[in-house]
Amino acid sequence: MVIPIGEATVGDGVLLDMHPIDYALLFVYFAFVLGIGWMVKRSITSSEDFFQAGRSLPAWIAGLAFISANLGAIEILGFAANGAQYGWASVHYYWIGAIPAMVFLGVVMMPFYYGSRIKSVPEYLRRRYNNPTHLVNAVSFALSAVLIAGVNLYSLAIVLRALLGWSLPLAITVAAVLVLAYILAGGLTGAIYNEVLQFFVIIAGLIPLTIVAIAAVGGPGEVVERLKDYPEYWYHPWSGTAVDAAATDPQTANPIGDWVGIILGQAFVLSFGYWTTNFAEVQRAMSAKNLNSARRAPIIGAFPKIFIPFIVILPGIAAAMLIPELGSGDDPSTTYTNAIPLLMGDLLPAGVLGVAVTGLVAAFMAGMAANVSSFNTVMTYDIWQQYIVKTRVDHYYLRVGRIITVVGVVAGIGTAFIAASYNNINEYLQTLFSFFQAPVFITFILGMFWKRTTPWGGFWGLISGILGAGFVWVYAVAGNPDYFRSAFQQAMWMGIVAGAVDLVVTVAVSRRTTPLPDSALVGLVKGLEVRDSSEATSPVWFKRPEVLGAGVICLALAMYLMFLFI
Amino acid sequence: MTDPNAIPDPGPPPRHPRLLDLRFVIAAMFAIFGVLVTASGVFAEPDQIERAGGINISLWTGIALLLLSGGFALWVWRAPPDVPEGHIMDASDL
Repeated sequence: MVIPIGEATVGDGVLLDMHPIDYALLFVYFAFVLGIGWMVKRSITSSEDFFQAGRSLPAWIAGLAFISANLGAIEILGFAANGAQYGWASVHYYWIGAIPAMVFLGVVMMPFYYGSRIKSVPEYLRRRYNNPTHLVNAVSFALSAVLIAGVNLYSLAIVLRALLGWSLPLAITVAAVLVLAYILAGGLTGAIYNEVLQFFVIIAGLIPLTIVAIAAVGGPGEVVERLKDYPEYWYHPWSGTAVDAAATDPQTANPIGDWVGIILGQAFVLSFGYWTTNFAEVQRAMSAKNLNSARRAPIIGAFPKIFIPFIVILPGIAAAMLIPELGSGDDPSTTYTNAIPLLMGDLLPAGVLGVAVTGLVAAFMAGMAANVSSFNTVMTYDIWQQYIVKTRVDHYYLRVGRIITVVGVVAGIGTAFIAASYNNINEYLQTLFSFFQAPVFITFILGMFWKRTTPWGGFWGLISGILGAGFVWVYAVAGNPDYFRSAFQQAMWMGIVAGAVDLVVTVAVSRRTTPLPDSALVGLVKGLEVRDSSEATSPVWFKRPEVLGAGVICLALAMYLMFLFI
Repeated sequence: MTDPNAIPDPGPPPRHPRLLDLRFVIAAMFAIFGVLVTASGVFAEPDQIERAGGINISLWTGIALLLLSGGFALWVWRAPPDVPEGHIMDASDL
C-alpha cells in the first residue's frame, strides 16, 4: 500500500481557529504521553522488558495497540479521501481485508509465533528457512519501517503547519522528541500503553466529527437519500466489480477493482500478508502475557476495527456532499485528502476541535512509534545480535536497543526532510518495499503448513515472488498505463502474481532440495506446535479465539448485508 | 522456631499501585478532557452551536468523555491490580 505523501498539500489553506481550551487539551495529552513513559521506566530491567514488553500484557491492551499501530493519521486522512472520491467502495479494505486477516492471525498463525518463543517475525524465517531468507525480510522491513516513520513525521509536520501555523522544524522536533522520550524510557510497553491511549483519543475526536458532519448534511436519512445521486458503488460496495466491468460499462465500474482482485489479491494476499507478517503489527500481539491472550489480541482488535469505516469513510462521504468543490480543481485547499481538516475547520466548535486536533496528532505519533519500536527490535535482535556482535550479556543488548532507538528516530527525521524535498524518491521507495511485502504471506503459510518446504525452497520462492510483483509493476507502469482501473486494482494483481509465483517456485525448489529434520522445526510447523498452560485446558467460551473469531467474521458479514438494504 | 502454619507476611502494601495501572491513566486523562470539553459546551456561544449543525456537540462529547473516564475508574475499582512493587500489571481478564 503506497502512502499518498504526494499530497504534500494536506491541510493547505485550512488554518484552524484554535481557542486556548483547544491548546490546553493538546498539552494535557502531551503531558500524559510523557507521564506514561516515565511511569513504565522502572519496569524495564532486561532486553525482554524493552523489546517485548516482558511478554506480560493483558489481551485487551495488546489488542487495542494492535489496531492503534495501524490507525495512523495517513490512514485516517487517506480513507476519508477515498470516501469523498469513491463513497463506501473502499470499505473492502476493512471488512474483507483486515477483519479475516486479523482473525486468521489469532486463530491459525499465532501459536507458531508465540509458541516457538521467537522475538520477531523475521526470526521465524531464520529458524524455519535460513539466513539469506531472514536477511531479505529483516533488512527490507527495517528500511521500510524507518521510511514509514519518517513519512508519518513529515505528514504530521505539514498538517500542524497548515492547521495550527507551526513551522515544519518545530512540528517535527516536538513530535520526534515526544516519541523518542517515551520509547527510550518505556520501550515497547511505553509505545503500547501510549497506543491504547491514542486509540481512545482518536475515537473521541472522530465520533463527534462524524455526528456533526451527518447533522450538517441533514441527518442520516438525508445522507442515504443523497447517496442515490452518486454511482451505485458509493453505497453498494460490490456493485461494478465484474472482471470486465471497465470494458463493458466504464460509468458504473467499481474503481476499487474487480471481485477476483478484491478477494484474492486485496484480501487473501495483501491484507493477510500485511496483518499477519508485518512485525510492527504482530509485535503488539506477541507482547501478551500468554498464548491465549496473544491469540485473542488481534481478534479483540478486530471488533472496533469493523466500525472504523463509519468514522473515517463516512465523514469523507459527508464532506463530498457538504463541499461540492472538493476534489474538483486546482485549489490546493479542496483536495480529497483535506476532507477531514476541512470538516474540522467548518463544523467543530471550541473544545471538540481540541479533541479532534489532539486525535490527529495522536494518530501520527501512533503511526511513527509503532515503526520505531519494531525497527529497534529487528535491528538489535535480528541484525546486531545475529550477525555482528553475538555473545554479550543481556544488558549490552538493552543498551544497544536504546542507541538504535535514537538512530531510528534521527533517521526518521532525516527521511522526513528528504520526503519534503524529493516526493518522487519517497513514492518509488514505497513501491519498492511493496514488492518485498507482496509474496511474504505465501512463504509463511507454506513454512507453517507444509513440513516438506525446504530452506532454499523458501528463499527462492520469496525472491521470485518479489520479482513477480516488480514485473507486474513494470508491465503496468512502463508498458500499459491503462491496463488497470486504478492503483488499487494494480496493487491487487501485483499481490496475486507475486503469491502465485512464490507458491510455484517454492514447491518446485523444495521437491529438489533437502528439508530440515523435525528436531529443527519444533514449534514452527503444523504438527509440532508448542502450547503453554493457558491453552492446555480449554478456556471459557468467550476466551476461545475460535469463538471470538467466528463472531467477528459474522459481524463483518452482517455489515455487508446491512448495506444491501440501502 | 516459627509456626509452619503461620500465614506468610505479605510485606508492606504497594505504595501507589493504582498509579501504575493503564486503566487509571486513561480514567485520569479523560476526566480532565471531559471537564474541559463539558465546560466549553456549557459556555458555548450560539454561533458555535449553529455551525455544528445545531448540536451542542462539545457538551455531549464532554459528557461522553466523563462517562468513559467513569467506566475505566469503575473497572479499576472493581478489579484492582495486585501489583508487586515496581512491576506493571493490569486487569488479568479481557
